[in-house]
Amino acid sequence: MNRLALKLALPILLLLAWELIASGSPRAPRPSTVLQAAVAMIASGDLPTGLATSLLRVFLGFATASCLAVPLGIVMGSVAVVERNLDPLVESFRPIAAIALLPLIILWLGTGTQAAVAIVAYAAFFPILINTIAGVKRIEPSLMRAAYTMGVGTLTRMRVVLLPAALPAILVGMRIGLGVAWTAIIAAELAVGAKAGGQGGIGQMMFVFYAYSVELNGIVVCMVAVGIVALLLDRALRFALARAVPWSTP
Amino acid sequence: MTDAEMTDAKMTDAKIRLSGIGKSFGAPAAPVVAVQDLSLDIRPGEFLTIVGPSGCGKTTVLNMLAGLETPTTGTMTLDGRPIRGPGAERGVMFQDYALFPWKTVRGNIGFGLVHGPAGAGLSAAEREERVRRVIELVGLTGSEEKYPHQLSGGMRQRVALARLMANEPQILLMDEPLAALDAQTRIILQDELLRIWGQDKPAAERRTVVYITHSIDEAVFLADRVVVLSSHPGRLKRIVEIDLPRPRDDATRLSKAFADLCQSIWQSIREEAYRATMT
Repeated sequence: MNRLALKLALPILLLLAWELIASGSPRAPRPSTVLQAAVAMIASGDLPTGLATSLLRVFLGFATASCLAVPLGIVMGSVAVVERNLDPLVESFRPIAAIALLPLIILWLGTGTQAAVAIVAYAAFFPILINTIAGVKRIEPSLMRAAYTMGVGTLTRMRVVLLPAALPAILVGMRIGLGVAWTAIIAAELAVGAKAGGQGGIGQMMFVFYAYSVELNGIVVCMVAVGIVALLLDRALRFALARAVPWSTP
Repeated sequence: MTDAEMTDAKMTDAKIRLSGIGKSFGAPAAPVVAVQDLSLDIRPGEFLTIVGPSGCGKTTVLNMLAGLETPTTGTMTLDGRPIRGPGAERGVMFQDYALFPWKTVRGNIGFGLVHGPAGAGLSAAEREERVRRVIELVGLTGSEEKYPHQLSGGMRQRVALARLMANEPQILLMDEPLAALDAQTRIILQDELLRIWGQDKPAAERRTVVYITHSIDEAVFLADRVVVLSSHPGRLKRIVEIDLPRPRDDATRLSKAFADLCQSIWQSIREEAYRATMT
């Protein structure tokens, strides 16, 4: 009980200080006004639909990235020739931030869900790929040999030994990829520009508050919502991972 | 197998025959010779152990028998047919046990039956029955649903042995299976290994075992014959017939004949063992 009070003391003090300092300026957002704005945005349904739109885009992009990166990573990790030839290509694209692709993507795919999914897929692709390659390379060679000496065929060996042995690393890559995807979607939506209400994503809502209504409280509400969703996504994924690979948590 | 080959195998009394086997690694210009000119007949149903100082290529020999490595020179035959690659009739037990960490004890032991040719023609119920039987044989009943990381070294070793037995290979190839265990566990598992191999049964019902170890007393205690290799490169030094009566037990370990055999083998490799340790 006391420890909980101690934990909460600092945040509460900070909020109080913010409230006091900001109360002098009428346009500055304060905890009380932000809370009011949040209640209004939730009540009108704008915030939930905005978040839902962004989340859907993230999941579509993330699923696309996983479907491409995991098989490619497995091939690159197990066939040295493929890795030698593709690695320079991967490493030259990897430092290019997803957001830097935006101009091209907008020209090709417009400013809708398609473009957002493409950005997210690009961002999530690399962490998943890199971790899958590393996971496949780190497999204990005797595991593959054991299956080989039991007369298990090549394709079956890939499915029943290589894949589960690399799975913990692949899932770590997916967890990092999902975090990166969520960051990328907000940036992409902000850059794409306005789409009022829940029709656009959360980033597009922020853009409206910033460029048209100049509603600072709304911007803060969106920021807080983005942070909370990121935390929840990560925790949910961690929880799922611990259950998906019970053997790798000794 | 044709009749001619059958007669041939019978006449020579060899389950596996190695003729002039050599194995080099590295660049062809500067090869490192691991094994040189090794010729050996392995008899059906015999327990053959291979000892030698480090660098004698014991593991390389086993890997070649398993089909995981190809000899650079010479020929290897099993029942008169050349060995090319791994086969389910030869089961391998690795030094690190190579258990699948994502499978339970039951899943590991049944792996070859589910995914390999060893389970072909068996119904699911028959497979389950086979797995249950070997779990009982190695004394793992009650631990079926545990994962390898939840087991002690001795129990992991039993799982690896049970997985080998479940596939019912004709030939068991074992690479220092007890090396990672403490002295007491080793002695207990040596006794169990002989029981599972079938030292109480008539010789015709036993499986052929090729067993690598660096421990001379272990080699003598288990074996019908001990193959002594010399190092750098690995070459055949001696083959010692172990005529200690079976079944062997603690009385065997205390007998003078046992000590004499160990001493004799030690004398033939001590010089190289010292050299390997001191340099």
